[in-house]
Amino acid sequence: MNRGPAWWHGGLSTRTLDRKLYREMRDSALPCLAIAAVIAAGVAVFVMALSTLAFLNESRDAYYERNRFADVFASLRRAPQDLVAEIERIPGVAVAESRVVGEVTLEVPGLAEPATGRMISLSEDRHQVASRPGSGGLPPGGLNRVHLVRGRWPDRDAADEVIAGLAFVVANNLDLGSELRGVIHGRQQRLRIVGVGLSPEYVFQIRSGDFLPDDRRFGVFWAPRRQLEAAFDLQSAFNDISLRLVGGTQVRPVIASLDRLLRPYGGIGAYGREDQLSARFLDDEIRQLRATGLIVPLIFLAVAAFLLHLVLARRIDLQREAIATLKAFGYSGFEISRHFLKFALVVSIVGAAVGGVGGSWLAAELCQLYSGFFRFPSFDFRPYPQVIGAAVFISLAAASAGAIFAVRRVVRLQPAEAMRPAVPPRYHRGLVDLLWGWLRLPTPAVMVLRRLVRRPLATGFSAVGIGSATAVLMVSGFAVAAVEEMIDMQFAVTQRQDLRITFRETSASPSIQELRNLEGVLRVESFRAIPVRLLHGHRERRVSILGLEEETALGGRPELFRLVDTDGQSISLPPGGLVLSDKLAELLDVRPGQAVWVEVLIDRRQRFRVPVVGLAKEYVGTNAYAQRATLHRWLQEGRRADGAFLAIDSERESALYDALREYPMVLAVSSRSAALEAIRGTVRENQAKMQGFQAFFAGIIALGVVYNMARLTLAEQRRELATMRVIGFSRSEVSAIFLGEVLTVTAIAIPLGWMIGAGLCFGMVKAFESELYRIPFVIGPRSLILSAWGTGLAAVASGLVVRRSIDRLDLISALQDSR
Amino acid sequence: MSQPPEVVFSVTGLSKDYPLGDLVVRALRGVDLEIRAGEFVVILGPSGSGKSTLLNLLGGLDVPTAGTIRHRDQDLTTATPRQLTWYRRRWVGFVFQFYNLIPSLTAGENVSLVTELSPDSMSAVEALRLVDLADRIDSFPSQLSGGQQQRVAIARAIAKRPEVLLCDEPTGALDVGTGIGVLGAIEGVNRQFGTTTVVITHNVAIGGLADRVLTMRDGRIVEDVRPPRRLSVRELTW
Repeated sequence: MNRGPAWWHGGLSTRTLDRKLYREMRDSALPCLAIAAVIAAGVAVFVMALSTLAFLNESRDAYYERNRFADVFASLRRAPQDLVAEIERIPGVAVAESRVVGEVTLEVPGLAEPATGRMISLSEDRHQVASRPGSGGLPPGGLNRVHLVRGRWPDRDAADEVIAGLAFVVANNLDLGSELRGVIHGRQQRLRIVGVGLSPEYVFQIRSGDFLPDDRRFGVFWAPRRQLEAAFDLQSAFNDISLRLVGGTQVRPVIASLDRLLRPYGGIGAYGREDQLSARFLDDEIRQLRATGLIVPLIFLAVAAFLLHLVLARRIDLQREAIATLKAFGYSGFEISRHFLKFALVVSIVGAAVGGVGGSWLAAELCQLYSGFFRFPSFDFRPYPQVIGAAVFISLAAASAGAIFAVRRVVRLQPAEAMRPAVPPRYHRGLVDLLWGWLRLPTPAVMVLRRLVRRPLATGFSAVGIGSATAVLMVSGFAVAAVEEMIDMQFAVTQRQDLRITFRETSASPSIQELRNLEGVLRVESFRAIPVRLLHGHRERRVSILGLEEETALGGRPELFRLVDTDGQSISLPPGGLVLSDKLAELLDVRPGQAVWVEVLIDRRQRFRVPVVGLAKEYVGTNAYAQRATLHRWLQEGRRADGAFLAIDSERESALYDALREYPMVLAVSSRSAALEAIRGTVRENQAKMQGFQAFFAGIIALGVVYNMARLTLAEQRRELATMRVIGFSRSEVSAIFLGEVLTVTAIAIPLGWMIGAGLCFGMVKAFESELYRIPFVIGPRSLILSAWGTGLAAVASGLVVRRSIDRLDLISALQDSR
Repeated sequence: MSQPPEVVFSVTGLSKDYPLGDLVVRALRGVDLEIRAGEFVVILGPSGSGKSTLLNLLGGLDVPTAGTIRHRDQDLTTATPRQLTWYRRRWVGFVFQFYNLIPSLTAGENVSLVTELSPDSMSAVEALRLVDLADRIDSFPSQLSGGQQQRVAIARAIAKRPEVLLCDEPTGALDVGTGIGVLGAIEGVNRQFGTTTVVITHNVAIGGLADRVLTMRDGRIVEDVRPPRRLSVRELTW
């Protein structure tokens, strides 16, 4: 069938141009791959972050729903079981489930110091469920259901059978059948692990006040209700309650009603799911992933768009005659533009494909990493096609944006104009020339500098491109420095004690004396800890006031717990007021000199107004501090303590632990060195991996930008460099001019990169800032030097690869090129 | 009788093949040639006759497939790339059809580029004065006409007082009037400094300026003529 001439249906034109495109790309495979790699990196980070985000979101929602994670939680001293029915009558409450929850000191094989276990009663109603009519169609079953990973449920009447949390079991090499010795409520008790479990309440298992989990020394255990009622003397009573609300119910009024009901029973304030510790850590992580998933890929894709622009602009420049010839033959500007645009699209499709696959792989790796922190019943990652689709779309859009500005020239190019040799680029003498004259720079140096100054925009873009590699490197260094600073602040500046002892009950002073008399104890500083609600204007926060010793028994300054002010200077607590952590002051919108209302949440529930007398810099939690004597006065009580900080003789540490374990008043012992070691282990393990990823991406961006820039510089200067070779410059002299330009731009790029990097780090600080912890904004010389070193290395490596082309420069053909 | 000038270039059996896909292009086929000090040689011939190849080989930009080229005592055929660089730096000045000035450098700086390389060179001003462009020393190439750019290129080539000046179609991109001005500069250098000069061109009329006119065809020198009288530039017409 005659389909008419080829030009009529356009088939030939496209096919021939496509062949041209294919051959050109084949001949410049390396620079094309370098750009594709930058796009791939951007897409990979995007896919990694957003797939992980989607996965965490899905896993969390499914887990919470399936295991009926509660909406409201509250702890109290003791309430009769009958109160539950009353609580269930609060409007909006679908199910109320009471529990017995208590802490236990544990002796763990292989662990010198005592560990802390949190014992939680299992819902009786894994077998028998109290669901009331009209409960919103919820399926029967208890709240915060434990997911049994292996083993069996404890026998309802067994006195020692427990389910142990998976994290604790793994960290301490325990298994089914393992036995632990514990002290519950002052009584020795044996715990036999018959099952290993997980709970939506402890997806992220962390003790409050810590910023990283310590699974060896803190674990969760579930035991039959009867066992715990007996152990904690709570027969037919409870000390913890969880509520599930009917869909659409406002949480705050329910919390208020619940608080009212629990107040007579020692309720210390109910809180919603968003304030539940594990849920909050998980939500924060998801929030941070969302930021990472958008900011970092944006940088990569912007750099890739810029590179595509540069490469295409140069390609179009070099092909002026060919374009003019095609136009003379009758190809439209649109057809030729489409041809060049295809170049950008092919590069970005290759990049997006590699990035999509790589990103999904990275997401699986990241989820693997997360599975050590966030424990879900199943953690089988699967790729998210919709995320990959979005990434491909964004990368194509970025590539097109980069290309379109370059391709506009094709449309504007007049065939006759393009046939003529291009006029030499215009240069003018400027003020900077005076500087070079004054510095008596050699002519080749002037050549380099003038080229850079003549095109400030291109130079600036190149510098920004290379600088973004410096910035990415800096961000990876920043994470290390920031965690170091947090650790330093937490363990070297503030917490100077060897051990922190938490008492089972508030104790009078003689107990402190007993501690002091223990062998191996060098120094004791006791503290009072009171759960309170602080109010300022319409803002309020539930925190603890830590009452610290103002002076030791011998009249000296307390040494084992120190506060620092916002300038990092050690401060002593002033009498008569509260010192707030800087974050807490920000949340309450209060400044020193102003007053806050304090509502005590225990015992006599006093309410009083006190001044804020200072601010303390803290990276973890939101805390309030007062002199212990001041706190006693506010509470109208004598000297009492809830715990103590100890300095100990390290040689007697083990014997001291044995003694403390037998001590009925000691509920928990946390060792600073053990916590530090645990944190360092976690950080080491995970940071190496994350830093490896980041360094890899920074390397890609640095090599991609510098290599392409070096190639372009060479393409632009090919004739000049050949001329110089002909008139007698040696290879190394000509290479020096070429590398000089690349390194000069790199030298401009590095400080620029530091600024971009500082901005990114600051962005991260802001994005990651939460009530749980803040990352300090610390940029040390180490991260500056490392990022500069990495960028320089990439520049030199790319320069040297391209320099080989100078050695192979065909002098004759370079000279014959009329442009 | 006066002693004949020394031989600067001695070329014997010079051949150059270029592979072109599956084909081999024979650009030079056994060229023998001697050029003496101070000679003004014009090489004529159609495109593809091998004249540019010969000039490139004389300038140490390329190596022959067979035969030898000697520059005085030095065999260029066996020279290392480093030795060829040194040879170009010390002895040869090049002028190209498209000037090949560095656009980011002024006229004076383009000349300085060369003078910084060789100890015995003249100053940029002197060199530019020789081509009547001393007043444009601070102009960038984009601010100069084609003829002026080519004269700067000549100044750049002669500033280091080379023994040999090799010019590849120096007027190829210029109109007649401008071309004559450029040839005047080249001829002046030849007369004033005794620089051995080789000019390749399509333009037969330029042969009038030469001591010798070589005509090439198919990679061979087919004619070697010494005109009875060298014309001055003013007498040239085409």
